[in-house]
Amino acid sequence: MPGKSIRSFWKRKSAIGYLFAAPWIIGLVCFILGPIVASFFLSFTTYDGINPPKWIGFMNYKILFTLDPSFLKALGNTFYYMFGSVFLKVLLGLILAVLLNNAGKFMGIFRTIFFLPVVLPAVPVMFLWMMLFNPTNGLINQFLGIFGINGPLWLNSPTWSKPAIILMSLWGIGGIIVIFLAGLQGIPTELYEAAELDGANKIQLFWKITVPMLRPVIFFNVVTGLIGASQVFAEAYIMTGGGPLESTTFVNLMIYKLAFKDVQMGYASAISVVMFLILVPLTIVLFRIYRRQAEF
Amino acid sequence: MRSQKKMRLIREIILYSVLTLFSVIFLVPLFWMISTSLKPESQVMTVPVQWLPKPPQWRNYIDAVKAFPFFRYFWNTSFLAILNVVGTLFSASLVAYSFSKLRWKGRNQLFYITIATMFIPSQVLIIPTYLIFSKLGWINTYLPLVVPAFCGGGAFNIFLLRQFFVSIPDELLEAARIDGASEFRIYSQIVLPLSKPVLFTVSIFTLLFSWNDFFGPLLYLHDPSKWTLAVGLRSFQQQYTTTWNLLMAASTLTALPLIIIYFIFQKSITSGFALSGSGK
Repeated sequence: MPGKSIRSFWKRKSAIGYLFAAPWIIGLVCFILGPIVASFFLSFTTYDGINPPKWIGFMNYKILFTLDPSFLKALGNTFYYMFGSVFLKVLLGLILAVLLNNAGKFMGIFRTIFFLPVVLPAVPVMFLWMMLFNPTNGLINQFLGIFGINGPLWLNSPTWSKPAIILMSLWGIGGIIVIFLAGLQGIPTELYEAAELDGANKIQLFWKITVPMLRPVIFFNVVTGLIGASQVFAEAYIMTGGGPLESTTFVNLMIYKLAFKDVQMGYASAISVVMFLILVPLTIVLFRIYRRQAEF
Repeated sequence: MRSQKKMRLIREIILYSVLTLFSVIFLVPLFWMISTSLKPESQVMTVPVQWLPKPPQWRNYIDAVKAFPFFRYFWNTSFLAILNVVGTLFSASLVAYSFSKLRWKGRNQLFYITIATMFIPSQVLIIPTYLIFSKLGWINTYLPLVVPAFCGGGAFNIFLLRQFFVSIPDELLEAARIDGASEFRIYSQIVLPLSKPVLFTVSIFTLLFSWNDFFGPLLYLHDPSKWTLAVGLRSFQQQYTTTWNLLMAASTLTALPLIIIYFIFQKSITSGFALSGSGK
């Protein structure tokens, strides 16, 4: 019976396939897909973590958007941070990568320096920047003082607290630089040579060749950057506690406080679902990029 | 010709000055951390700036280590990092092997779902995941920080390994299959040895991630004796709000292992990063 033996052969192989993938199938269901469904469910309930969740329909969402100004404020703060930090990181990262790419044999040294902050642990880095941002004795304002500039209160000012956290995030720009560098090295040098023969200068080369050729990499950095920045939490938790005047209360800090300090898990879930729905388009975009790459 | 040469020289001078300027800006904070860690309290946060400690007070490091259970936290952090690396290496490679070299129904669909979850905004997972661990009675244990590593080690690591495994020619595996080798044997004795560089990248990333994790330990570890360096440092800072020199000494010690690892394995760390961004 050759037919049957082939079938059982495939069956056996299939079984091994499932067996090898089993850890991930469990992980995917328990730690990702299940929790997503559960978040949607919890967002329609009121739940204190002890008594069973009570269904209240769209009440949480109604409160979020009509009665709770702190949610819209947190959403605004998070967008401010996301777009501010990603825009500056990508812009500065691209400029530094282009410069590095021209640095010849010294490239390695500069790259080592620019990347170093990326590997440093977040909590010590935040303590360090709290010192640097100190309004009277901090290094930054003393430096500004040399030029006669009276530096802002940084983390103690509702206006400057977010720019301060964005400024700190720029210290971790090394990851983006390295990704851009890899992209730059993939641009054929003949393109530049041909344009130079036509008399193009360096600035024209940058805008007419480098930027268009890097467009996919720029796009990738922007999208992953936005999703990453939307998770901003520890900065506010450690450096500002969400203040002053809620100016650094980001969405994740709000979720954390509501869910684990005030145990309003239903309401906190509704916030997480709103954030999820806002970010899902970005996830879909990245999914398409990676699927194409996976197929070669 | 001469003016062209001159132009080039000027351009090089500008290029290297700008890069050097930025390098200084990038290095100053790190320098400040180390310098502060060696200062006597009277020289911390002074106006005008005191750049170098006079004289360097090495005792700060001893005082910092004594001021909170540093070695306990160091051990806890290392222990968690090692378990995460072991779990991820084993389970992610097994799953990646299944996605790249075994055929089964639903494989491609599941792989697409895996890719889709790589960039899930993780806010939406926090509360239910916490509730699951809480129902299992795992709060205040290391299990929530370790078990996920053994369940596939994260979509991104699976993706990275799968992409590498795909490049290993199938003929190599077919030959072994004809010789009667089991899939596990092919996986462990042919595919894994060929994948050392990518396995290494995954290990380093997992190590960095685990060492730097603040949210997980904050959420799940309540008993101070179980804390990691990140959470322990936080409580140290709250107790000694003004002793910046000791805090910076403890911070430097926390960062030091990663700085050492970075300088030793710089190449595979930066190239791993570049690889992660090659989603063109």
